[in-house]
Amino acid sequence: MNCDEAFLRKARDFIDHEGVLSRTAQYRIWLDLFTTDGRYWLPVSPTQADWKTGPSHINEARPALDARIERLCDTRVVPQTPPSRVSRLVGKPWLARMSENVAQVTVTFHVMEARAMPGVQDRMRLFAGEATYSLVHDDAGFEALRIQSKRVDLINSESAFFGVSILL
Amino acid sequence: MRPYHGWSFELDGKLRLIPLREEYAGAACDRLGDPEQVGATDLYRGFIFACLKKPASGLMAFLGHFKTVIDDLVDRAPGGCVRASPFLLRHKYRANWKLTLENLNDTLHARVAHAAGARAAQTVGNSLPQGQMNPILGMMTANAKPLSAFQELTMVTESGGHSYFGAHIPTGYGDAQSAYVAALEAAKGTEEASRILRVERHVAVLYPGSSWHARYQTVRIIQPLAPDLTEVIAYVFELDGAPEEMLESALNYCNGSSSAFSTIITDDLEIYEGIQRSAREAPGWLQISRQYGRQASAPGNGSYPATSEAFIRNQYRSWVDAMCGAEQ
Repeated sequence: MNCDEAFLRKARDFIDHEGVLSRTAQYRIWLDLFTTDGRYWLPVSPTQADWKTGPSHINEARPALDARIERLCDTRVVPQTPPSRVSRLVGKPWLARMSENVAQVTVTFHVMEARAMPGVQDRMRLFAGEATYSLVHDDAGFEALRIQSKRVDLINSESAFFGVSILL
Repeated sequence: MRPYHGWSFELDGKLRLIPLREEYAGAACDRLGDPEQVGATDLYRGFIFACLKKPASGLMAFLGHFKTVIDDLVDRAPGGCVRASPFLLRHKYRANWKLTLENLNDTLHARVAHAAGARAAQTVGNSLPQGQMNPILGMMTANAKPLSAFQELTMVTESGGHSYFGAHIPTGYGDAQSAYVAALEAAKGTEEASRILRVERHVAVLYPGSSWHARYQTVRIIQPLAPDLTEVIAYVFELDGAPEEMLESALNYCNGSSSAFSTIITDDLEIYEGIQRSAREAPGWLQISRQYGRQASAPGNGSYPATSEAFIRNQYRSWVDAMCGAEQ
């Protein structure tokens, strides 16, 4: 791939689009952004070099990731009744590494989540960190980008979290 | 050295210095700076157990039959030992610690609480080629079993509040099966290897502080932080001498059963918090009478169909004993 301004603009548009899809709960279209062997990974530490070195908050390649998405699309999923509302801010992408076929692009992000739960006040929380995408061009040769892997490093990744159902 | 008044300690915890030591007065200051003494510690198969107060009986009496839960994990290692992964997986919830222990051996909630995940995994699984079932999909799908399938599994309880029931998610080792069985047989002999692999249990609760899943090499510590706040810490163990890919399946189980982001336990965590809110707002009796009195077993020690709530009554019996100072 060519490492130029035009590519980074394209990557930025792609990642913006991905953010809109997850924020607006268009989960199946979000899943289609991944390659057929795509992986979504939230490690428990920034020092976790790969997902085989220990447990993870999420480590799902397809089809396990497909099941996560199908469940989220179900209207009766317990921890999304009522559903979360999400606001998402993504920083400018930078290129971490480039090879012939794969571009590794990193962005910073802030995600705010709120759930309007009866009897529970001010349940709002913040997730912040870096997301690193391994991007490839799709198999069909449309020059469209696809996610081969997305690694999400939360700044508090070692923490014990309360249940999380949204996509980061 | 402590950062406020400058008390300093040796690396083994012994007091080195307290500035103006002579000015501290009163009997309560006689042992000022002494490290807090743990009541008792003991080891079983490499696992360290500690008790804050001196218990009336030793570790082996506390474990009873449930030492086999630890044996089941360690025996599965052809090399004879297990190694904890260097990373931990932690989650928490805003409710009482007992709810996790009451959930881990409850079979009735699986079909209901996890229904959306089971439907999703079945939809995805149906589109896959035969035999390509992913471990996480397997866990999600297993929750859809009819109640009669759970009734056919056996639950075992023992005094002290411990319990387990028979395996309800796949116990085979998939692609690693033949290499693993060969390694286990080479290390332990055919007969012993076969005995080890015939032990098929789902999660075992070692009341009141931990849960063990030998097949999936995962141990969880359940830690109360407050009456309405609990943290769960999960460890995955590598079996010495076993094929590498077995760790992958254990990690998948651990993530599915212990991550705050899990497609399974987020259902449970949400419900625990609802139970805690309801208990605060409208306190009432807990209903834990399923199959009460139907089995003629000695109190706290018996076997039941896995849909019984005998294990919860057994936990409360142990809890009352502990609160009232009876021997553990």
